[in-house]
Amino acid sequence: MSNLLMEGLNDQDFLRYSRQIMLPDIGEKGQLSLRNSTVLMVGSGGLGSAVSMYLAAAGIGTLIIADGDKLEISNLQRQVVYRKSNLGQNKAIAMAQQLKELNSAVTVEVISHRLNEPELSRFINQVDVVLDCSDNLFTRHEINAACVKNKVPLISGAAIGWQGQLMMFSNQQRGNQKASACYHCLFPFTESQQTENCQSFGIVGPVVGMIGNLQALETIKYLTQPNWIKWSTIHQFDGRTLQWSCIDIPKDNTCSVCCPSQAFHHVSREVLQSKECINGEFVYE
Amino acid sequence: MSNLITIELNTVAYRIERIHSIHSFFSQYKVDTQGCALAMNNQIIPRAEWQTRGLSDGESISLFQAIAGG
Repeated sequence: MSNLLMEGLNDQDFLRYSRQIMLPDIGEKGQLSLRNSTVLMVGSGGLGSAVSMYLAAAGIGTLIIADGDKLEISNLQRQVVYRKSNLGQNKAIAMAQQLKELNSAVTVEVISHRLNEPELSRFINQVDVVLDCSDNLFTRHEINAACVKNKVPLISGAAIGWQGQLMMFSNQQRGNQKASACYHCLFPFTESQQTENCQSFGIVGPVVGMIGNLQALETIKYLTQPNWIKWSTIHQFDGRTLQWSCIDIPKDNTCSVCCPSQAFHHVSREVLQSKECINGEFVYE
Repeated sequence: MSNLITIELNTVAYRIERIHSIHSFFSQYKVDTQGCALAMNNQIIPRAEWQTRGLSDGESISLFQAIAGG
């Protein structure tokens, strides 16, 4: 889909991305890596707003956005990619429009419904990295299972109130054994009476923006300097004190999702047919 | 030697018997762990190990919620 390896950068590209190309750790090679990359972002709320704008601005090649919700007025306090004129529109479609204004060189693909299996795995199987920007534990576990199954890295963000969490999972195997932990190793439950979401607990805009920004940062790092990434970690942010904690996540050998005895189901690479093309964008309705 | 040790749970100090595992400590003090992960020394302790992992004097437990919002 996005794997058309393009020629080198042109003069406009050098100008536009000059402030990151001039970093020796990115350079022209890193910029081309970004342009030749495909990222799946599930959820286009507060996390997704920050992630998508920074990745589009940085010149990511293809950004696939999945969200089935419509924009509500209570979203505008923190979901800063949207404008009032987007109220009532599907969020993924509205986001794609805003991103094209920001950087028309980015291919934005839209999934304007809730992305579930088996479709989820078909998309995950064709991307370089998955960003979990969703708002519920069920979806988070479904994304995790699909990333583990397809061995695709997962950069997961979450935020509520004044708190944020950033989690990094490589989902790569060493030999026959999966070397790293997965989201289910960390949170081995799908339901909790205290499962917190923005509807019931509130959220401070800059806190969710902070975590989204860091998801974008880690994505850019993964695509340009992958050895810098510290996988199997959870970073927790407290917006009240500005304190961070970084915690290592060991692999849980009893994990029902990623333990070695778990059979990995191979999902063949499929070419997805777009059902509709709106304003030059692919939309999967 | 005293059979009591001091540990911290989310920065609150507890004076407890040395024999406790993480699990038995939570049971005795009725700590609600639903929806939580647990870390000690900046490393997650999987739930499967809570029954067997003992506690030593001066150790700190961090118990935190899974956040779903985004």
